[in-house]
Amino acid sequence: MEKKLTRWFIWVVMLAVVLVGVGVFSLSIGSTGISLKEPLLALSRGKGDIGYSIVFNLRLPRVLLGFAVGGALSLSGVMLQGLFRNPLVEPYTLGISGGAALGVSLNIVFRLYCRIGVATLPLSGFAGALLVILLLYSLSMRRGILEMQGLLLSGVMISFISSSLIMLIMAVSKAEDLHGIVFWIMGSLGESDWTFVKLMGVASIMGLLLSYYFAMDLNAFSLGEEEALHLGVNVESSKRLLFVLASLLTGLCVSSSGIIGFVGLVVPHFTRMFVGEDHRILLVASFLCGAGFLVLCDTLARIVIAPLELPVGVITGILGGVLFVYALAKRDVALGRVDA
Amino acid sequence: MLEVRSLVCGYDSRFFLKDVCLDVGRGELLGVIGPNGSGKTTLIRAISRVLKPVEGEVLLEGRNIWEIDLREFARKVAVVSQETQMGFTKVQDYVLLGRIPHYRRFQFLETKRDLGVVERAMSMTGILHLKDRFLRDMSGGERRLAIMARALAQEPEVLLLDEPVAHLDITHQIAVLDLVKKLNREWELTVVVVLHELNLASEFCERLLLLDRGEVYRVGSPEEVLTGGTLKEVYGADVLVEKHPVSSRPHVLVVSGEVLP
Repeated sequence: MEKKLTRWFIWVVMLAVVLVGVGVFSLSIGSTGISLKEPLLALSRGKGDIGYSIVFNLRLPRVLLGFAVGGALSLSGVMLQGLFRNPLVEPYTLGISGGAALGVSLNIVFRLYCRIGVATLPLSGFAGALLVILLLYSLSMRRGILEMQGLLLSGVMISFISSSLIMLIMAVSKAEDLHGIVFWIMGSLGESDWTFVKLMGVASIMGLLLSYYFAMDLNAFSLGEEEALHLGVNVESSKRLLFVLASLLTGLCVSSSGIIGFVGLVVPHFTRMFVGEDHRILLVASFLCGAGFLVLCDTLARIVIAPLELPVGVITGILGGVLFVYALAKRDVALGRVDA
Repeated sequence: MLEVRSLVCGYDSRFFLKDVCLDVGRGELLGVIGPNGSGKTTLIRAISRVLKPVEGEVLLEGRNIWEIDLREFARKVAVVSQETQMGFTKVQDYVLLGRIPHYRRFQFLETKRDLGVVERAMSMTGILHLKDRFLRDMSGGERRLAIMARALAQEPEVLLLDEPVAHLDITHQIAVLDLVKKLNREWELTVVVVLHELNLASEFCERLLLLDRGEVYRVGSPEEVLTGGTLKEVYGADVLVEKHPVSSRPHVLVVSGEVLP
């Protein structure tokens, strides 16, 4: 057991170091090149300095938002995959992102953000996500039991319906609105002011802490629902709370940074290959891994065709997908390494 | 220990168990037999708190099982189901899952005692040497033993087994059932085991419960339950019942329909 604990500890430290490294790297890279030690210097020079304002007002919130969103997405990916015992489930499979995107699209088309304020964009996204969560939940409750298979299917259907509705909206909307919608659907960490970053940061840390309440339950779920029940897990309440927790985290992520695909699918798998199936380590490892991965992708998105910016979802998709296929092909090697 | 009182229970509107009454004493080894679809698994699910009864109740030490705290129940009753899923875990980690009902909330790490119990469960079932192997690399028989070890790690007082020897070769069938018998004798574990194979049931159980279409057809010693008449009536098959030359328990011989006159 001590050996296992040491191994877990090493993983967490290693991932945390990588995370900090990625953060510093990201802080020092941008259209105005700042060297690696520059961010710290700029921060120490205090306000007024141009470097300070770039680092503190532009890059730092963006990096922190990336950490929070990446971490929260992977975390809810781990929870959902554990809950459904289905490796293909990710936060976006359940149509929550679709609902959020629909909410935002409606907002843009009806110009609510012009009339009331830009803050309504994430709010309408979150409202859309909440609506889908409620709908899914009520559709899948049968005699006090949350039917997971039905939940998954209705989620996929809602996802299709909302993407069709978005296409309908896009087809009839004006050119300038179109750009806003497309930009939002592709996802970006660009809109990051401090209020947002703080909110998202608190939410994802809370999510991580709360998820640990269910770590053992998730381990038991790996044997199937009935077996989990035999191990004394209150299956129904755990299922509901985990579903709600994962969905709320997803809703928050989507409403703060649009649809950034793939993080919630690939990162949990990738992490699982290395640290193993045990949720006691998997939750925190995926959180750290996802946070680092998203910020790394965002940094790449900023520099690949600088001064223009690529949508971060493009990078997560390409990089994550390629890495994952590669890892899958080498899976036994990876597992063998863990053995040794 | 376990009391089943006029239990009616089933899925949706179809009733699988009709008015089942049963008493299992502490330290007893009861075998449940019956044709396919006679409600054996349903009975196990009703006793293990998976299926809520429509009528009647199941009592554990005099308490209705639905009023017992889930975790407490899991510390008393362990189940070895027919279908169980296992991921890419190692045997030891898998067996450790059986300790979950003993953890306190926010206890994330197993204690020395937990590891001791797990080690004992693995050596009881004879899989200690496999503890670092992955489950998916093991044979069906070894896996079954791992499931048994996980159930034992719960340190239960009652062990419910649903066809623990299905799809196993005779070596593993005997290994599993000898283990069940040993647990029953030495640990005074109360055991209810569903068996398909009548001769194994006869050989290993002191008392048998024969289910027929959701009703208790007969309860009693193997000699009382396994007679040509009852088997003809319940299974609709012609069989010969002989005496086992060594154990002198009843031994059922099937007869092909073609050779009958």
